[in-house]
Amino acid sequence: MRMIFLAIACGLITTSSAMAQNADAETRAIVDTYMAHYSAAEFEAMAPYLAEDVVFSDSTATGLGETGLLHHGRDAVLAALQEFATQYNPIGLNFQWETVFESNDRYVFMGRVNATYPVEQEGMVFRWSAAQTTVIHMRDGLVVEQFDFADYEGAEQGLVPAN
Amino acid sequence: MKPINAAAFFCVVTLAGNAYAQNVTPARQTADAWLAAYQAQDFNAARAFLTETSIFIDPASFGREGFGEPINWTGADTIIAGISSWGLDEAEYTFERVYESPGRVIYDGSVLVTYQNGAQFNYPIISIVTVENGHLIEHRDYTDFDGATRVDAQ
Repeated sequence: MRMIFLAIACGLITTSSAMAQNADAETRAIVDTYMAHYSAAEFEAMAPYLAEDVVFSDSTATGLGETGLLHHGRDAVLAALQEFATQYNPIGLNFQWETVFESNDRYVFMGRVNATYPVEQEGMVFRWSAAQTTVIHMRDGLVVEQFDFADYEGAEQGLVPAN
Repeated sequence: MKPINAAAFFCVVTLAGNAYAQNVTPARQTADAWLAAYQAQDFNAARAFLTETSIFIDPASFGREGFGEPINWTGADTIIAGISSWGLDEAEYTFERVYESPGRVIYDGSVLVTYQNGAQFNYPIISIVTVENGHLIEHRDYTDFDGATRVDAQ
């Protein structure tokens, strides 16, 4: 009888571990999709991934006071992203991540942003490139915090061929 | 010959120090000095940067099984007690990128941690150090605990 209980207990532990791994993989897939939309400047497509009480922060953003860029709530975040899109018409943010890791539901992306914008000159785009780190905090499959850090003062910028 | 070498060395060090001071902001100097003290686990030097409202935090440590106390400390005494409880000899950063915005320096790369028993682990990490008026406002780490590699001979 004891053996049966042990077997059941072992089975439950194994099942629990497998479920945790599946949940981790599902969350990672959600984060990757969200970041793909962010990279492609598909800001409206990011909406379903944001928690209602999400916080979006870029404390390195210059010219915005001590807190830098800081928005509370999904509607405010989406409005800010939409305003950015309307004002600058980005083609894409084109992230290149060199290091990505997860710990305690924080997904850390370290690399560069290579934002591109249309210009009148045919076959060319304006590119703004800088070191960037983004930290995504997930809860129940939704983004509850996003922290961006970028090297605004060390950014490289100029016209480059479109392809 | 020795005095000449010593004088030349002093000049090089002085010139290098002056060049550093001229090229970096006061915030960067403070952040670098704090991080140097932290890397050397020099708690007396580290304490000089801390106030009762300084914060040392690593949200990646919250809720980790078997990790012990999460890294979320406020105040000089609590921070020094927390860091010293790890039993480290040193924590040597290798930077891949270092950049700053006003009052804030971002160090990303990895940190090679040497424990007092000789064990060494290398952790990918990003540290965001916020300073003001020569003091630490916040040291925020995101450490890849699961991605650590053991690098000593074991």
